[in-house]
Amino acid sequence: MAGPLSAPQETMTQDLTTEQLHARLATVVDAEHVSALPPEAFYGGLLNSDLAPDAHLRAVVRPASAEQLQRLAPMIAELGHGLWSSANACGNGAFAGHRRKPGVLLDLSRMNRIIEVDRRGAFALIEAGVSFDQLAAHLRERDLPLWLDADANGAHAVAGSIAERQWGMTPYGDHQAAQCGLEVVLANGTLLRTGMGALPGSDCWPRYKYNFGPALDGLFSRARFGIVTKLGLWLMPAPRRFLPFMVTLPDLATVATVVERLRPLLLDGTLPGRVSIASHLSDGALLARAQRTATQDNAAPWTLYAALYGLADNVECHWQTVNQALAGLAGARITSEGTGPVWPLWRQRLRGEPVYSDMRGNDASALSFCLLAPSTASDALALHHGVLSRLSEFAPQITFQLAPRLLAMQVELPVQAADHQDCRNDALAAIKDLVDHGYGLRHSAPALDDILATRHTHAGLRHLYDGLHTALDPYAALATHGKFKRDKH
Amino acid sequence: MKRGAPPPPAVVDAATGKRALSALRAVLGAQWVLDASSPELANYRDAYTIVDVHDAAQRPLAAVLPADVKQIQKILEIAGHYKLPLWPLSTARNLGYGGAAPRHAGVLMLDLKRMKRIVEVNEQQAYAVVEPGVSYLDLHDHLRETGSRLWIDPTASGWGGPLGNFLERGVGYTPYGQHGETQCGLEVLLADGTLVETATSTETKTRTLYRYGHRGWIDGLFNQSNFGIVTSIGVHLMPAPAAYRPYLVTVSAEDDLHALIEALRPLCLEGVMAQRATLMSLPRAAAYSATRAVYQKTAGPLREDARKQLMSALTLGSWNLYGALYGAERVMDNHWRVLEEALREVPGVRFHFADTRGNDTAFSCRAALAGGTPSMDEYKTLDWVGAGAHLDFSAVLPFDGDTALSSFHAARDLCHSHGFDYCAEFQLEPRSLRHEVRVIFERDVSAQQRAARDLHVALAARSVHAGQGSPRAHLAFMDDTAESYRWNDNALLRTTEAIKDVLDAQGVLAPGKAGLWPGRYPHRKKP
Repeated sequence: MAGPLSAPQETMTQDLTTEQLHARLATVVDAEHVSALPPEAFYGGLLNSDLAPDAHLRAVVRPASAEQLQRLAPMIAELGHGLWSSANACGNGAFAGHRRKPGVLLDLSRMNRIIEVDRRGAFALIEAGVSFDQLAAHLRERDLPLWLDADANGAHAVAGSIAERQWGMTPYGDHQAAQCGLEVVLANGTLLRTGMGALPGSDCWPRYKYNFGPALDGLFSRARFGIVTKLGLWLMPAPRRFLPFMVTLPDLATVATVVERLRPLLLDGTLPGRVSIASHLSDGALLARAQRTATQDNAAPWTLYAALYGLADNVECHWQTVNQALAGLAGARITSEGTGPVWPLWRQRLRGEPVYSDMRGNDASALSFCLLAPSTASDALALHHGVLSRLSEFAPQITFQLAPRLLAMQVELPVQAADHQDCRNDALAAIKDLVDHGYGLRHSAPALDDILATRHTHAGLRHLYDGLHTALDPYAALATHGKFKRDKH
Repeated sequence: MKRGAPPPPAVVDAATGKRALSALRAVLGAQWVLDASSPELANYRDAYTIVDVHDAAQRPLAAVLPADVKQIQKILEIAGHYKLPLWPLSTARNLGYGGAAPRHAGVLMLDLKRMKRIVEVNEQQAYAVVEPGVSYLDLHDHLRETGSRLWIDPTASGWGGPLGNFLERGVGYTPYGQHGETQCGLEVLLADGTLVETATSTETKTRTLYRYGHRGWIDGLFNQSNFGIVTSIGVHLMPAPAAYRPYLVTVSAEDDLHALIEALRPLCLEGVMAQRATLMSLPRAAAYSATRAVYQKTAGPLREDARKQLMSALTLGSWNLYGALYGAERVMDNHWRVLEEALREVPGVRFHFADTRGNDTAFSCRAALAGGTPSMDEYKTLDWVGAGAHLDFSAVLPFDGDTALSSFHAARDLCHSHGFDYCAEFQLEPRSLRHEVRVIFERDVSAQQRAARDLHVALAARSVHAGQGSPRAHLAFMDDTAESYRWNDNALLRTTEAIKDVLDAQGVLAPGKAGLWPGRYPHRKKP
């Protein structure tokens, strides 16, 4: 461990030449793993975001181990640079460091070992750089009866998906909830393990989430308190029966009715995974991403995709319940024998498998966001109206997702539209408006942080975040933070 | 405690204490400040003390009972000014883990039991928001009186409450039994008086629906810690299932624990057993309705003949699994068929339902808990030794037959060599087992207290050596337990101490809670 958590003197050597900076970094890792930003690098939306112009990023370093990271983090911080971090070159869940400092990006793609997959215990212990594709291949090659819950893009890092709190489709669809135990490097180089990982010799690090004392894991997702290097992940034992199904829906009003009718089935576990309701445009975009050339010519305006998982007899039983719940909806058709070119992709998604692999990850120029609401018909309509009233001309691709208690509306704008300044302005206005009406937002664009920080984050909570940054990142390398006033009295 | 007398804690002198109390009276009214002249101050102790019945080492200076957040802010201001340590309590029923006592003498007990509003119950989205003083019994009564279709997930004793139980990382026995997974949103006061709403603010529509919020998910910080005073909590509630069916599975031979655990593992992972079922040793299950003296007059662990008598009188096994099925009748039948088929392979297995366990206290108590109904029958287990008290020890191990068997053997032998019965249970989670040993001893008998303490020390030493961490600890063992999580030079504890130093710079909130001492205390180990 790297000594007490206090900030050493920051040497203001920001005017170090790039060559000098690279030479310093190369004292820790081989020179071939220190570079300027490679032209082919993606790192998600990070580099092109409005808040982090790439001019500020001076180097990319690819450490091979947590030990190297422990040496790099305080070195970069002491040089007055911000710590940027990305689990792999794809960049999902990547974050930019302090906004007003030049940055060094830590790319963890070399730290991509699958340390352990336990068949009997149904869990994996992996390093931060492991992608869904890599883990899926590992399970397939060993013929393990364990299921992943992957993002649609298999190039995504598992750690990044958890950091973004993404949802998948299976009963393990809440990625944050499936994470168990972390290893983290703090800005001062401290290497720490949470949960049972802190107990020497414990076999329970990826089995049981907590340690004695406070639970810190949640601090390291969607927040810049440290850099995750290893994590435990719960996997789903292959269910005895898997029954995916689709329901075509004629219009938005029917979508809203379905939200009401399925709410109790999500709450009581009849539908243990997520339910997705994709618009025609959204399904078309999925086909395009998966590079299937077929088009959805005769598709319904909306299609619901979900699955039943469990004992064969119970799946039969629940299938009847779902059919009863959706009975009598004019123009709706339910079937477990899906049709159309997009059905095989959804079937794969519902089985927790990725459906395409794209290192460009969250395409930097695309614009996507996800609004959160209570799962009711009126909230579904309000979200849809809020977005379409401003953005309909840009043909947004919309997918509703239902979880117990929550409704999410994922909105993606096509690349051509998203490049358009009017489109970005209108999207921002729509988001601000809905956020002002109390709706939540899950996103990966740093530009949206400020909206939430002022409208949805309680002033006291911002104060607490400041305190945590003061404690865990005394150099302010990971994030901009205000001074925590220790004594108001 | 086992390290001998603790160094002198940072308490205020008598004159300062007096000034602080008069400032507190001015804010709260004299009737809500209980000082040494009040007989009620004696309630802030560990009713099941393992030290000494007249122990002065934990005697508080006074207790205050605020009515709301504003009053707590005033109290924090006064405590900060006089550097007077505070010890917050919600329903203060943490028996078996130190009860309502603080870590050291001279602190101000901050008793939140007057704050007992049920702030909200949302029937449509299945959740409730409650204050610290709301007990499981209160919330259950409220839901039944208002005709709600929602269940609570009570812990073993009904006078505990959702807020305190979450903070202590307690558990329940329905499918919502892991309380860290069902909590959503907290309201917390920091030491500097700042009121924090975690997750998303109360202004939003997703306040008690989306627990992660938009940046770091920080609620876990307030588990087993002293970073703030939690004044309200959101909890997701389970919609009442179509039906539920409690069951008991008994296994006759002790060492068939191995086969039983191996058979249960896939069932728990697959969700055929949807709740945190509990596997109890014979004395643990028998203690609900039997007194050991009836079966064995002499001291020392139960002999084989007494065990046989107990098993036949109470129709129990060496191991007794209390569980329940949930859902439509057909769904429960399907689950049962799979469960029975898997467990039938275990030698000496027998299956029991409510129809044959009519007057069985253990069964009815566990059935109530699995059915979301709080119960106070847990305390009947203390009659096992007459006027009993208990000290609990728990450790987490992999869901694995070999490990369960060796942990059982080690714990049983240690219990026996210290003169106690092996009263214990394994709580089943999909990937881990929580092995909880309940040391039932004669209340306020000093030789028994000492033996219980020694047994705890021995159990902890064995568990830590085997890599099995305690997820919870009695007040007297908090420092040792925190230090057992010592990977990489205590990196975790050092990190939480760094947080403590910033969030509570004066070091006034619950000093020593979970082994977290403010920097001004001599207890803080130097890195």
